[in-house]
Amino acid sequence: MALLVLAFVGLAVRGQELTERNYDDIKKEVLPTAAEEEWRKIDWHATLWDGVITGQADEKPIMLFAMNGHPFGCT
Amino acid sequence: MIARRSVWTDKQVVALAKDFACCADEVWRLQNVQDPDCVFFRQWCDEGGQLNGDGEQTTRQGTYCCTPSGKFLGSCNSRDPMVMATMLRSALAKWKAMDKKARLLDYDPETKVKDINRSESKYPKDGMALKVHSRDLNREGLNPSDWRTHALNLDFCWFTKDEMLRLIPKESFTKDTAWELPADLVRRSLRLSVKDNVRGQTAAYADNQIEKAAIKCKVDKIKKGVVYFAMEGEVKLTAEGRSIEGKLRGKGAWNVGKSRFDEFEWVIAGARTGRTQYNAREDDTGRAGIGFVFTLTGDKAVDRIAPAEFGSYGWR
Repeated sequence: MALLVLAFVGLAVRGQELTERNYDDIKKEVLPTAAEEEWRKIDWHATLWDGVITGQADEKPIMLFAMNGHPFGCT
Repeated sequence: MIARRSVWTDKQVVALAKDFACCADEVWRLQNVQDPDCVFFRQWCDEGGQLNGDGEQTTRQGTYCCTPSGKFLGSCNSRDPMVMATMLRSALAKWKAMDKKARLLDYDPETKVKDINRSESKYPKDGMALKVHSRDLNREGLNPSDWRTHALNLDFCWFTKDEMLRLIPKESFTKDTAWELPADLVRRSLRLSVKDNVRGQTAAYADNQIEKAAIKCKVDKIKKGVVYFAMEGEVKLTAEGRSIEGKLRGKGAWNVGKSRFDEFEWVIAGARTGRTQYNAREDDTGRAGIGFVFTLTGDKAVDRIAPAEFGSYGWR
């Protein structure tokens, strides 16, 4: 039973220890994948008013993605 | 966050987006501030009905289409690409049916920029801006179709030019140079950026909730005017109902001639406990792995978003 508990605790905290050896692996695990970065392919402006300026200049309608916290920052 | 991935990566949505001037923004400010862009938003945002329930202070999160002149074209709040594509097509049809004169403002919107006060205007062009990605580590065993299993968030961490220059020693470098990063900058960067926001926004830690925050540097090599150095440190933050701690390692490459970092990176791996009101941890409050990666930002507009806790930077 004690071994089982130890194994469970070990699993729960696995991956926390950062060493020179696993540095790149952890970095890769945290950073977004190519699929997670696909949204960047849209030619976004970072503010509503930049969208208005571009829409006015290019005679295009505006599409605004609005969230609590900037959608391209912490939200 | 999930909305970035679920809708804006869909091929038909991406194709439709080419017909729009696409932008993103923080909605609380748009709802509550008197700057011209915020007033502009409030003139039409509810014309398709409130997207998240009734009430003046109810969030207006969602996607909206309008003309530069401020005429409403459509809105929705959905993670379903089909719903989004339908709304965009409808908005485009309304735009095309509209008289050309009615689509545009009768003044140059550039003239209002000086009246718009927002954190992004403080972007440190001659300093250093870092992206901060956060993700749960090693969550195997959870349901892979559950977005929370692979949730990811992004924040930013800024340094003015003066602050950036304080990150390197004043004396000339040798291959044995070692130093500690300034405590005030390390404490600010870590307490404001290292937080459990993997599944959603959360409050930062206060300075008096820092138990450990220190980073030591040591030169690895000097080559062609660039000083390559390694960083090691740790962080431990504790507040009521939550904590986070981890080891930090990193690397930097200081270009002496250009007075800038060619590379600057921190990786933190550790554990978190607890939850906050809005970070969607729900009952997942036990000790579990979490990781953060700080890297230099790119130069697109989407890389110049202000840190979520910019108000705590104390910049004037």
